Amino acid sequence: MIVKPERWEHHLLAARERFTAFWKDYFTKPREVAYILAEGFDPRMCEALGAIRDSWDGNGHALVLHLSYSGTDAKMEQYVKKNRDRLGDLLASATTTNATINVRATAQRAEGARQTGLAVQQFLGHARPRDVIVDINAMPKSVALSALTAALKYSDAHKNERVNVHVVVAHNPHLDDRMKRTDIQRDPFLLPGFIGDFESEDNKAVNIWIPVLGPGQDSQLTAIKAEWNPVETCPAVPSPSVNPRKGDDLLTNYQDILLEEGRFVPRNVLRVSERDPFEAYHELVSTIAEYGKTYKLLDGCKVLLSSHSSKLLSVACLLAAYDAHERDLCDGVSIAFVEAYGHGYDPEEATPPPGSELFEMWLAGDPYIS
Amino acid sequence: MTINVANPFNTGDTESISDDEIFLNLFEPTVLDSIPWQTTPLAKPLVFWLSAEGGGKTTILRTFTPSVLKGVARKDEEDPTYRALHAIGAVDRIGPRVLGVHCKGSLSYSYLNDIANDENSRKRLFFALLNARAVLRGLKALTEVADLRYPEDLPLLGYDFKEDAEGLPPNLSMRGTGESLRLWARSIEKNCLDAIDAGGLYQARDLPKHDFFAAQLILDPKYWRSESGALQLSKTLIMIDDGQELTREQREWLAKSVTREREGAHVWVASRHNALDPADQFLGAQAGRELARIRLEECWSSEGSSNARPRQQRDFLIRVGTRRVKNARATAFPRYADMLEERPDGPTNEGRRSRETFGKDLEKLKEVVAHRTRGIRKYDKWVQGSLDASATPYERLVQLRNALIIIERGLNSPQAQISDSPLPLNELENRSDSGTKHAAQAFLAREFGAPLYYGEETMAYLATNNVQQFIALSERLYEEALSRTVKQAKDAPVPCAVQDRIVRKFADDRWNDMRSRFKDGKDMQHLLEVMAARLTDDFIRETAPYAPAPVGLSISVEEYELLKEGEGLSPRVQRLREVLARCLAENFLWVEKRHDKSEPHRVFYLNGVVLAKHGLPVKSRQFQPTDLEELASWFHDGYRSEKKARASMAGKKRKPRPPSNKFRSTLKGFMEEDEEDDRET
Repeated sequence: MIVKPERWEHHLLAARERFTAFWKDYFTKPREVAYILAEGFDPRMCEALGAIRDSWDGNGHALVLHLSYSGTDAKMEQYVKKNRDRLGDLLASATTTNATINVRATAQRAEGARQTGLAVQQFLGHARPRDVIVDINAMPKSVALSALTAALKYSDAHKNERVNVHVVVAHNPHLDDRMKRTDIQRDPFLLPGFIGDFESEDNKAVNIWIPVLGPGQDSQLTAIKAEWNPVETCPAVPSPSVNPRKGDDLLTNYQDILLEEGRFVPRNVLRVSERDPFEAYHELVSTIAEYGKTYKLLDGCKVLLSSHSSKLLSVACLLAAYDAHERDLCDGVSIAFVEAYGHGYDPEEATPPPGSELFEMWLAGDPYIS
Repeated sequence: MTINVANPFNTGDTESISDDEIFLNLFEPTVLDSIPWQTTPLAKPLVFWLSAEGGGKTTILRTFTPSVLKGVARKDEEDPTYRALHAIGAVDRIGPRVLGVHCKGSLSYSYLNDIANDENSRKRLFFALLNARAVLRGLKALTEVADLRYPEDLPLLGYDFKEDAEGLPPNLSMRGTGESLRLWARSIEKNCLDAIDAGGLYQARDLPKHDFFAAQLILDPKYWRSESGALQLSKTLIMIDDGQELTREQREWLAKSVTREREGAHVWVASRHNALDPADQFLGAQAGRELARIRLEECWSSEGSSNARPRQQRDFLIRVGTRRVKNARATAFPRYADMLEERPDGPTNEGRRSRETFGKDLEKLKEVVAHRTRGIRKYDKWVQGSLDASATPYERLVQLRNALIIIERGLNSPQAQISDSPLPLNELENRSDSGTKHAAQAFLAREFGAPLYYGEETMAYLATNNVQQFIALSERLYEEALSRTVKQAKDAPVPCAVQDRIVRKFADDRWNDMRSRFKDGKDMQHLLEVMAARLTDDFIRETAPYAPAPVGLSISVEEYELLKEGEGLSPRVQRLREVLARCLAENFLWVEKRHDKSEPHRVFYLNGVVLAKHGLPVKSRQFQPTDLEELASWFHDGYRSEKKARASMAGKKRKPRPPSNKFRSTLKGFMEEDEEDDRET
C-alpha cells in the first residue's frame, strides 16, 4: 500500500517579525481577498488584521461573525465595543457581510460550530475569492475550526482556481490561560464535517483519544472521556513551552482523569511544540498513522482529538484530523469539544500578559500546487 | 465477578460499564417493580421514557438487549431479575423472547436539516437514516440471539418478507440474507453521513429517502430464520436512547409514524425530560391509547397526602449501594449500611469523643428546658422521662429536644394555662412522632453542630430520585471507608460526623459548580436560595409545625398549567419560569403532584443537596403552598425573613447563626454564663 506523504510536510509559516514582511510581499501582487473573523472582547481581535492592513489596501470581502453567547460577562461589553470601533476603521473599504451565529438557537450543543460552517460556506460561495484569510483570534475553538474546515473544503473543491487559504493567530498563551469559561455544557460534540466515521453503526473500531492538554479543563476532559470511552489515551502536552514545567504540571493535574487503570501508558505522552503548529501537526498525524497501522491487525481504530490548549495547537489538531481523514490513516478521525457559553477574562489583573506574537499559516493554494 | 477498580462506585453510569456481566451483577431488579408493565410499556406501540439525567433510563433499556437477556436466561429461576423479566415475557429458559434493538439518538439527525430544505425531504431523510441505523443495530442483536458472530456470520441469517409486509422502504429485496441487508443499510447510512460531513455542499436529492419508520417491520422475527431454524423470538422492541438529541419535529414524525402508520410496533424512546420545556409538551397532548410516557421519577412517587417519601425507591437505592459494596475487592462490607455508622455516639473513637461532647450539650439543653418551664409543673415528668439513664447521651439529647418541641407546642396552645398538673409520660409519646424526633435531630445539628446527614436512609433521601447522584455521593463515602479500612486493617465504617462532613462538602461542591457551569447559574442559585430561605423560616419555628421541615413549595395546578404553557405571563413570571425550568432540567428541583387542603397542587421539591447546603432536613416530604406572584416577588425582590435564625451553641465548632428572639431570650442567661466562663478561662 502506498502511503501518501503528509499534506503539510512542506509548509509555510511566517511568525513574529516575519509576519509583517510576509504580508508586505504577499500584497505586491493583486489579490482577491475574503477576510473572515469574529467580533468579540478578546484584546487580540484586531491585532492580526491591523498588521495585515499595513500592506493590504482593504479592498475585498469580509465576513464578520457575531456570536450571540448570552453568557458573556457583561463587563466584557466595553471591550467588544472598543474592538468593534477599531474593526469598523480597518474594514472601511471592504464589502462586509455580517452573520449572526445564534449559538442558543436550539438545544443542540454544536449550534455555534454548525452555523459557522454554513455561514462561511455561503459567504465563500457568494464572494468567490482567491485569497481566504481566516482570523481566529476572537473565535471560540469550535467556531474557529469549523470556519477553517469550511475554508479548506472550499479550496479543495475549487482546486483549479488555486484558492489560497491562510489562518492568522495572535498567539499569547498567558492570555489564553487567563480566559475564564463558564456555563460549560454537559455533553461534548464532534466538529461538524468530521462526524460520519464516529457515528456509523457499522464501524466496530475502538476509540483512541489524543487530548492536547491545557489548564482548567477538568470537566471538559471528564465529559469527553465518559462519552467516547477510549481504550487508549495518548495525552499531548506543550513542549517546548514558555513554561518548561507546563507539561509535567498538566499531567500531574489531570492524573485522576487520565491515569485510569490500564488505559494510560507513560510512554504514550506526546510532546508537541507550543509555538510551531506544523511541528505539532506532524507529531499528531504521525501518531494517528501509527495507531491506524497497529490497530489494522485487529478491528481498526478511530482517533479522537480534543484541543484544550492554545489556538495554535487547535489549528494543529485540525490539520492532523483533516490530513488523516483525507489519507484514510485509520477508521475515523474527529475532534471533540465541550462548549462553554460564558467567556471572559480579567483585563485589570495585577500583571498584564506579555504582548502577543503574530502567526501566519498558509494552508492551501499556490505553494501546494505544482 | 468483582469490579476491577478500587472504588465500586467509580464505574460511573450505565453507559460506562462495558461488560454485560458486571452490568448484570450491579443491576438491581427492583427497578423493574416500579414500572406498570402490563398497562403501558408492553401494551403501547410507542413509549417515551422520561427522567432527568441519571434517572435510570439507559439501565432499563439495556436490560432488554440480547446479551443481557441471555445472561438473565442463564440465571436460576428464583433469581429476582429472571423472575421479573420472565413475568413480562422478555426471557425464558431458552433465551431472550424479545429482540431488543438498542439505538442511540445523535446530533447527526439534527444536521440532516442542513441538507434538505423542505419538510417532506427532511422527514424522509430522517426516516432513511433512522431505519438504516436501527437495522444495523438489529442485525447485531439478531446475531447475538442466534449465537453468531457479527458481521462474519450474517450470511447464515435469512429473511423473507413474503407478501404481507407492506410499506417496506424502496430498493429493499423481498428476501435475502443478513449480509445483503447490512450492505443495504450501510450504504444508506454512509450516504447520509457523507452528506452531513459535507454540509451544504451536498445535494439532498441524491440521497435515499424513506416514507416511514420501518425498522420494526424489517426486523420482525416472523420474517427471520437462522441456519438452525426459526428464531425463538416473539416480538421486536426498538429502543432509541438519548431521544433528546432528536429535534422536536423528528420526535413528532416518529410518534406519528409509529402510532398511526405502523401496526404492531413496539418502540421505546428514552429522553431527558424537563416538565416546563415547551419542546416536551407535545407528548402530553398525544398521550393516549397509542402513546404513553413514563416519567421514572413518578413511578417511584405516590400521589396523595403521605408525607413519607416512598420506601420502595429508597430501598431500591440502598440495594444498588449494597450490590456495589458487595462487588468491591478491597473491602468486605456485606451491605451498604455496613459502610456507614448509624449512631452518632457509636462504638468508634469518634463516637466516644462525640459522647463526651453530647454530655456537655445535654447539660446546656437541660438548662434551656429548665428556663423555659420555670414555674410550670405539668412538664416535669416529660423532662425526667427524657433523661432515661439507660439511654446514651445522644439519645437523651434527642429525647429532650423532642420534648422541648412538644412543650413549646403546649405553651403556645390556647389551653396552655388551664391546668398545671403533671402530664403523664405517655402523653409525650402520643404527641411525638418520627417527624418531631427528626426535627429534634435537625435542631440539634443547627444548635449544637451534631451530625444530621448520616446513615443509609439519609443517603437515599439525599439522592432525590437520581441514581447517578446517589452513586456520586456514595463514591466519596466509600473512599473514606476504604481509607479507614486500610489504616485499621479491618472493615471500618464511616462515623456519622464524617458522613455529615462529606455530605455537606458534596453539597457545597455541587452548589459552587452551579454558578460556573450553567447558563443562569447565578439566577438558579438565587432562586434556590430564596426558596430555601422561605422553607428555613418554617423549619426554625420552635413548635416545628411541619416537622421535621417543609422541603418544597407548591403552586396550584392552574398556575402550574400556566407555567407550562408559558403564554401571557408577565415578564417577571416569565423570567421565573425560565429559571425554574433550568433548575428542573438540572434536577435541582423536581415536581410532584400533591394536594393542599384537598386542592390539587404541584410541589417544587428541592434536591437533597440543596437542602443539605442550607442545613435543612432531608427526610421529609412536607411542603408549603405559595403562588406564582409571591414566588416571583421573592425571586426578583428578595425574600425577607420575618424570623431570625437559631443560634448555634456549638460555638467555635460550627459557624454561629443568629438565634431567634424567643430562643435568644431563653438562652440569654446561660450564654452569658458561658461567656463569663470563657473570660475567666
